Amino acid sequence: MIRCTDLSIVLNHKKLLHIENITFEEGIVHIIQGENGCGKSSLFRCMTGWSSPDSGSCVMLGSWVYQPQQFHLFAPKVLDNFLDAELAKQMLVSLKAESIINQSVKRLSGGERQKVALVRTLCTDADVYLLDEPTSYMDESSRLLAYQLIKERLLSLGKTVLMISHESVMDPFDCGKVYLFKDSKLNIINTW
Amino acid sequence: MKKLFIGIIVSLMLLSGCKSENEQPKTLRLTTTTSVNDSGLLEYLRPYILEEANINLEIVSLGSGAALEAGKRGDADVLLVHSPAAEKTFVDEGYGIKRSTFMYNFFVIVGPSGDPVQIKDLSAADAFKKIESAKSPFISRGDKSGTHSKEKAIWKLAGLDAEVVSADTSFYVSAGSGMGATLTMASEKQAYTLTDLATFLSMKDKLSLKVIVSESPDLKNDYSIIVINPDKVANVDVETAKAFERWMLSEKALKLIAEYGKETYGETLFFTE
Amino acid sequence: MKEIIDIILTSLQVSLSSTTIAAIFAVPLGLFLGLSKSRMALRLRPVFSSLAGLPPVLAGITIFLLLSNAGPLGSFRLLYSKTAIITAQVLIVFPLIVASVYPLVLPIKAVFLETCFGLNIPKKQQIRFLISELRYGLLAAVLLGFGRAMAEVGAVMMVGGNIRYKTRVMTTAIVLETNQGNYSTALYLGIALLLISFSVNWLVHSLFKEVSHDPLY
Repeated sequence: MIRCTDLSIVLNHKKLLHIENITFEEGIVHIIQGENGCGKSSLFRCMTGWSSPDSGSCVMLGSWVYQPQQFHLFAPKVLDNFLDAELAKQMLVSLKAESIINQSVKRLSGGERQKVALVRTLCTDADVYLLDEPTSYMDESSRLLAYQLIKERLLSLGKTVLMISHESVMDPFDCGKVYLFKDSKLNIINTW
Repeated sequence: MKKLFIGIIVSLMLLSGCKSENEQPKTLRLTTTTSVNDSGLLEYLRPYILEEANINLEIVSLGSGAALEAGKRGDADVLLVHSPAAEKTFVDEGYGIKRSTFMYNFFVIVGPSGDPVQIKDLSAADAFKKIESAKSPFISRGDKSGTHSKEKAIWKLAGLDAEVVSADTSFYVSAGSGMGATLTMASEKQAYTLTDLATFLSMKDKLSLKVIVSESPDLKNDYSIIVINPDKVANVDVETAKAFERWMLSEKALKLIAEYGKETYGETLFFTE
Repeated sequence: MKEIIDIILTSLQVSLSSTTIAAIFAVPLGLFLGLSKSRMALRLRPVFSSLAGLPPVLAGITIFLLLSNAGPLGSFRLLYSKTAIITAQVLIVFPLIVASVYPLVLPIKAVFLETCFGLNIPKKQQIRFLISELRYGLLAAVLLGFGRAMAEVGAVMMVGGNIRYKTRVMTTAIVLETNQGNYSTALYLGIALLLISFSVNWLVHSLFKEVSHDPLY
């Protein structure tokens, strides 16, 4: 369970966002949308405790994993990023990217980097997964494969997923909620 | 204030006017050993040389080995050095016209004030023998300088092979440094060393060393002037070099040299015949 | 010839020791200064950068005064020993390595730390990842220090004393041979020194080339 109460973040003396009360239910996907710079990433940082809100609080029960928008891949090899190489390989196969497993990370394209990062995140066991634009550089078909993987590996096991995305991706998932940031408020715009 | 300023300018103009009336002084490239240079003798003589011989000295100070090498390469017009054996070879090989030995002084053996192996009142050769047999620490310049050649000559006088002695690291330290650094090392290690008196006196206050052996005839140190031979070495100013040599051997110069040091150190640093 | 080889070996022995000792402390400190957000770290960074550019003779005179008979550590009788040279070189090389290490961390720091935080990676593991990540840069920093140690003259002359068979290293031997007018020996030693520093620099250069290919940097 994740609950934000009276949460506000101020940036450059301007109120970036204010959330009076919101609870993210367990076991489904929550897709968060909004314009650039509206505070989506800041919200994730406050939820995890990477940065602290200017007022209010955010409570997250259970373990979590967080993949920031700007992430780091451990060098030199793709393989260096995985503790469980077998599991990672299976996931890369389902992303049709198994050939990159032995490559050097510096040779990867933006989309390939995101695949490695996503697999690395999914390999880590937790109750809640916070993914900040995990598929933004991927091509259309890879993106669908990635959503499929998230569904299989997380949602079907009852995990909770919070995902920032610029697309309304409802089709790949059975049920979830779409939120929109507008005028520093977070509103549910779709439930299915 | 303004008047003073104008006065200075006018007098400067007058001075420079005076100078141009005279013949422009000749520049002479003199290479000498560090010990001579450090003694300050040449700076003391410089105004007299400029006045009377109309020579402007350009002094470079190097170890004796390098000084002779500079002579061979034509980097000097005249040398003022103190390693008789090496000088003799230098002149015999034709690089110098002749050696004029014109002054001398004495090396001294300095050491810890307690004189641990009791070499006081011995000759230098006997003192060296005693230091060697007691394996009492001894610092050598080890840089082929005039002082270093003198040291080797004394080992020979003592009936020892300088090469063998210098390889005995149990007591012999080859510093490979100038006199100042060697004296500092001797003081730090409380060891004996051979030094010229002038350098020692100039550093005495900073060292915990004392003169132990000083008036032994085998410590005599001869200084010579060598004019470079223009037939063997190109581009040297032999005329000015000869004029310098003539002046240095003049009675007036010898008298000035013999007086040098009395005021500052209360001791004569160089003797003339 | 044997003596020349001994001198070269002494040089290598002394400089390798000092670089190793300096690196053992300087690399972790550099990494810490790069990663830390504390005010002290922010203040120390420019201090080390300036220390890296300080004239080495200052290190020489400091060690000389400490180790000299009249100095506080005089009773250990360490002046004019290899230990004295190593100590002076450590003092010269240490800030140089620190000042070359912390800038390696800065460009990847924010993203690296947030990623590790997000994946719940323990501190120890983070450091291991960081070292393996920066290993070329770290090695290059250490080699830079080694090059500086090998090339040092003034400080080594002051505290080592250029003693034959003991503390004579390549640079001080070159000075001595030049002062004696033995230009050919000086030149041979100079060439040997050049070859050593050339190989070190070539190594540094090729490592940096490796690093700069990486879009992460």
